[in-house]
Amino acid sequence: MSEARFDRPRRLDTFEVVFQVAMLTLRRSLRGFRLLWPVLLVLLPGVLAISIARGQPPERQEGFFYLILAFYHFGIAVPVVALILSTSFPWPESDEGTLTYWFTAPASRWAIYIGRTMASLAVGTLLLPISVLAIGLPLEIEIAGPMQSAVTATLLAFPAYVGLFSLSSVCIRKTLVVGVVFVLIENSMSFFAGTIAKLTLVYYVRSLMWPESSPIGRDMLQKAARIDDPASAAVAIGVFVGVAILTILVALPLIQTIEYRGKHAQPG
Amino acid sequence: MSDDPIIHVENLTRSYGSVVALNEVSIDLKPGVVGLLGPNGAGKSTLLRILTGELRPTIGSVTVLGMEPFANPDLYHRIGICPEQEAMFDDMTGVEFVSFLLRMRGWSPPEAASRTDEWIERVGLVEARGRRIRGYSKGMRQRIKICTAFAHDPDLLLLDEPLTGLDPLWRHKVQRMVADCAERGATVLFSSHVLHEVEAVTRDVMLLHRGRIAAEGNAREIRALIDQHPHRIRILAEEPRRLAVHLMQWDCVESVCVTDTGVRLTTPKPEAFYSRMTDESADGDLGVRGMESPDDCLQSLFDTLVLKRPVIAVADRNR
Repeated sequence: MSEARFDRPRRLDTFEVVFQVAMLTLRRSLRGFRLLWPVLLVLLPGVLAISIARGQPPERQEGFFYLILAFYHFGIAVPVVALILSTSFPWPESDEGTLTYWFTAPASRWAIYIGRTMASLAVGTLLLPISVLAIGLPLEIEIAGPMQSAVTATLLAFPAYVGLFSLSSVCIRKTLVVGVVFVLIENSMSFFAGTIAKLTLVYYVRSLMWPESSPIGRDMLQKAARIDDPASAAVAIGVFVGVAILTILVALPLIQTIEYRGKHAQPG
Repeated sequence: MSDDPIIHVENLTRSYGSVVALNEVSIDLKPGVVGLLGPNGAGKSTLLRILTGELRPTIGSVTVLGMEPFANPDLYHRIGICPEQEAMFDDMTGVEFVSFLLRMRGWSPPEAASRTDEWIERVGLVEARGRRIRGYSKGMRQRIKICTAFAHDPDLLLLDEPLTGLDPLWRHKVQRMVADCAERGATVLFSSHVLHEVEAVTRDVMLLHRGRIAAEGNAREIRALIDQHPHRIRILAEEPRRLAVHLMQWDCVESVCVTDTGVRLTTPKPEAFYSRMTDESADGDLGVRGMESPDDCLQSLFDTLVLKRPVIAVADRNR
């Protein structure tokens, strides 16, 4: 065995690993068609706003704004974008065979996981506010306040979904399928008034955008989304931060210990 | 220099559900190049995945460079891996891929760039350096994998079928790289199902069969046994008929059969065949794109070996 054939570089520290992984993941996210579905999801409500609501009376435009935010943006776009961005690692890469390169790099698995999650958060944080703007900007109403609170609610809810889905991706092989089922069930549960709705993230995100100053918006959320008793902003923020931190903290030890045996790793 | 083995495996058993992939394997690997030989399904890749820390032993213990391998970054800092599977980050160029892995190993950007250039040149991918890996041929992908395994000058190289998909010329060059690496003091574990690939880089061979070490020792003795069996080789060629006519004139070739993509042949003298093929392929006139040897002959050798070793034979019957 050779001893000190050359000065081997020191191992990267955790911050450097997280940075390297996040930057590579970001660069790769921006290539090819990876972002096609998230971008389509984000731009679709803008197309709807222009084609359906533009030119309608201001009350109807306002109603449309709250309706599409409550149902489409928070019910579908935010969780599905989180699902797409955060479930490609580690199980899918294990099946593909590329996980070997991540998990045999001289870096902790959990640091690599954090780097990947940071990249997902960065991409979603850039994309999803565009969805809110795409809905609000074509409409000729005073919506600066509601748009601001919708963007804030988006940026608070998105990490919670990323945490949930990336945790499930650490533990479960078919996370994409599980995630789609989760979104469907969560949306269905959110229409039940009372305790059942309060078990969903959608309830809290709709509460965060509760329009105190807009009777049309309140009416829309009460009737259509069946929110009679919105959670306070502090509770909603607590739920999102709590879910995001808790899921990531649970994922860290799990990813260190789980054996990812992809489809290519057949006995032999 | 310590006398501790580079790889210490004790009573290692690894099962996938009811399938036992490795069965009470014990190995003490000293510095140098060691060939891990076995037919497909013998347990070679499972053993290598345990040594690289991707899998855990079901029973038994493993230490590599004195460390437990599972999820151990300190170990990964010192080893180079050429995995069996072809998958890579296909959306990256060859240069980006190698450079990123070097950066993850602590090399500064200029050092990583310079090492990447050096190794991209050594594996003959200078012209393809800026192309996405997605567009690489099988041989080019294999060479990029080899590049990532060697580029950081590891103390231990774990190479899983590194010559798969390479043409004779590149097989020879990679074998040379392995030998150079060993000369510099690194330890290499080189898996293959073709004895002649292993024999070109080392005389020390471990035979793995049905999850057990069937034999350990000198490759020459093993070759003497294997050469009693006709050796089959498949060659991918641009012009199969022309190659077949050419090969039929070789003394070391027993029979030749033309297929859609190349030729299949048998040879009683595989060493002479591989040596002549490497020489004649060097100028590219033969149009050989790749070469592989099915493990039938090895399988029959293993059957012979197992039958000669009553302990293993009895153990196998009991499984």
